[in-house]
Amino acid sequence: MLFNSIDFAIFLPVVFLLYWFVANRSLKWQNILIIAASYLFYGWWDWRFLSLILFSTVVDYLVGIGLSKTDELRKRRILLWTSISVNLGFLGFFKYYNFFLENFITAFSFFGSDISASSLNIILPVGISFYTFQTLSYTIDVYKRKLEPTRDFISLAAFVSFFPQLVAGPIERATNLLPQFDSPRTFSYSKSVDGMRQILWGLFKKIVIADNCAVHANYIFANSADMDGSMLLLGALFFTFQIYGDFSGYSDIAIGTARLFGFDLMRNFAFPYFSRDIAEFWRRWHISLSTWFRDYLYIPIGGSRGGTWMKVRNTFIIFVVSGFWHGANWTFIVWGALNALYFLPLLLAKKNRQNIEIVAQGKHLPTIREFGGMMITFWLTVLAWIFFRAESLTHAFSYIEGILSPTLFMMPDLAGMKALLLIVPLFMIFEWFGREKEFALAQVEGWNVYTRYILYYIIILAIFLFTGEQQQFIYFQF
Amino acid sequence: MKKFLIKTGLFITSVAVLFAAAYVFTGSHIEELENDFMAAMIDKHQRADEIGSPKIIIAGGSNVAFNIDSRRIEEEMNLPVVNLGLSVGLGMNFIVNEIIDVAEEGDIIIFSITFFENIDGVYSLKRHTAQHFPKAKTYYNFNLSEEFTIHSRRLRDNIIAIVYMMMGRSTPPNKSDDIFESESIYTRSGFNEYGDFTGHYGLPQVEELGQRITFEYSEWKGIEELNRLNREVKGKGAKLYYVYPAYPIADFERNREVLTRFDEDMRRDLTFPILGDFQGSLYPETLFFDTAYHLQREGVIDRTEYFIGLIEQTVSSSAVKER
Repeated sequence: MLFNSIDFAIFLPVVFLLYWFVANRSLKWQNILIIAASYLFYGWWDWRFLSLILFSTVVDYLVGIGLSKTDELRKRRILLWTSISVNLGFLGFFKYYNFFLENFITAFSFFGSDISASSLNIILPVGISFYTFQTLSYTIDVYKRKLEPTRDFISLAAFVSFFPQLVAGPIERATNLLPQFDSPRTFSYSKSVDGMRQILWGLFKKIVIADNCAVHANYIFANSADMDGSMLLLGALFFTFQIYGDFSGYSDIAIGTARLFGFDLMRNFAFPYFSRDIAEFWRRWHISLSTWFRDYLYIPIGGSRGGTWMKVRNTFIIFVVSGFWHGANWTFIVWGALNALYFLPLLLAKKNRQNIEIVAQGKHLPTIREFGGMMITFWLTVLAWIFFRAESLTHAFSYIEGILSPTLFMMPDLAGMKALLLIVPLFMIFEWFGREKEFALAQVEGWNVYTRYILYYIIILAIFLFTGEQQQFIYFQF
Repeated sequence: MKKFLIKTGLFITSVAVLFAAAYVFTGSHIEELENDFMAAMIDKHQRADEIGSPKIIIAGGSNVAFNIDSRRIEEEMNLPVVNLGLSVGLGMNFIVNEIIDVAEEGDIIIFSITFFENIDGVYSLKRHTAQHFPKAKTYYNFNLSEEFTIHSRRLRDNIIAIVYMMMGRSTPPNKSDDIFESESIYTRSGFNEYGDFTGHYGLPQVEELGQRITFEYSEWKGIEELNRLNREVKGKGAKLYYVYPAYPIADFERNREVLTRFDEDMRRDLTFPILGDFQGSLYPETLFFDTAYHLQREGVIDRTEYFIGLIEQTVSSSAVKER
């Protein structure tokens, strides 16, 4: 079920009313309702893959119980690796089987061996990368004794399948979300209003910004061989805003929806395109994934401790794995490696934590230095997105070559995109003024009630007027 | 909770009221354009009713509307002819249901349609057609989700129109439902009394023919639809025949392997006869008008003679003789 669909517009109020008026008698019933709603939400796409979620839940529940019963290190490791193997096994099979097979065959044919093997027609279960990482956080934290294992299967099942963030995050930590399923939820007016606002802003980002940018980005990337450099540059920019609107919009809807049910999910985006360097960008983009990799991969392999070589190695590992997490394609790996290259100079010069505060905090405009940093970071990101969006590495390189041709200075054909070229800058200006809040529309809190409502109506009108062809959320494929 | 529900309810209601007002303000945008291409269905059915049976029904998509001179067939076969062909966008299912509705005992139905056409067709086009010819509602299933989309689009058009008016610009943008622009040759008046489209006669070939597709083929559900049509019309005492659509020679050569396989499947699975073969339906590119399926006047003459030959050879049966 897509957040931007009629199905969800019916589903959400029905579940909301049942949750607060029918299942509110006990915590258990509220959690059961969440599980039922979440399985319906997921099964709407393909009910067969519900078995994967259920199986992961059962395995992690039993592993958690097992970990609570033993202090013996060997047994604890076996239990941990059972959970990791099952969860990553599913992920590996569904997402990476064909990639490894094809590359294996290519590698052997390079050395003269002719191996034939048939790839499988595997359907990638929506959101598998997200819920796999979420369940892994449970067993790893229990193993590390950061979290008491739950004996309540219903709580754990609700945690794993919680529908607002099931298919595209934020990837929650068990330490943050699971305890919320174990404690009573009371309705909060201000939290719910804030949730509604965040949903509205998320829909705007998805429907007005992302879906409309997608139309042009898709066309330009699909016909890149016939495009002038200026059009290719526009295509890369459109994709830059598409992916931001799409994914941060999804996260806003997910967080807002969770708020309606009394839950607090972690922040996933913090105005990343206003970052002054790439390290700051990665603290503000897909925060739940970056911090997951930081806590469960980067730090365990040594982090930034040790010598220069170790730092370089660990940085490359985390960025390349992060790229590979997005999909079984060399384009994602190169995208990750490119970001590692951007990041390394900052790390080695120990300047990776120089921009922690919000840019131009308390001011209307940034300094020239801050603006320069933002511009450089933004364009580096645009370049990296080309690899992320391209069909293959060859496509990415020819796309960049196309941009860097003399036709870069040709006037692009702006037919059909003028309104969008006005809306995107206005959107970014609004985001700029809301950057000190959790999401841009939160800045209306405290505004005059009439101004606030006029803005709501304008946003709804814009959503309605700019609804194009419904596009699936990009991150569903990951 | 109460405060939240009341405030949310009021807000949603206010949005709904504003949208409803916008919807009503500029009225429905399905303008009953008398000259709308799809309105030709009214005339075609009127003729079918008037001529009774036995008759020859030429059916399919716009390929038969554009490519046949029914008057010539009527003169030659001494049987009244109606050309039901209108648009393949209506989908196989719609077209088949329409023929079942029209066919009567003794009728001869010659069916010809563009390759691998869609079964369901375009919902908005079907709905649009039914607004001109209400009986067409019985040829397709109501779809709530599609209806919602259509009304949403219309509301959006209305809001845009209001915004334009507020900006002092009197011309609202094109409406979603105006499928055929008024300056196009695709109009109701382009059809003659037999249901043949003649509006393109004498016009030069367009620069680039449309629908020049390289096909991929594994199976075509249309065969099942055609067999259903055969069962139904057979039950009514009518006879059904299939003829391949007129097609450019070059396009056939490009798709030869796929179309040969398709022909084998058709001849194996169809429960009624195919008249002629591919070769007889191939024409030089110069004889086409705007798509790879629409012939110019000269092509129509050739095509009609080919049809007459096929009907004469194969259907020198009772209906013709009795008449």
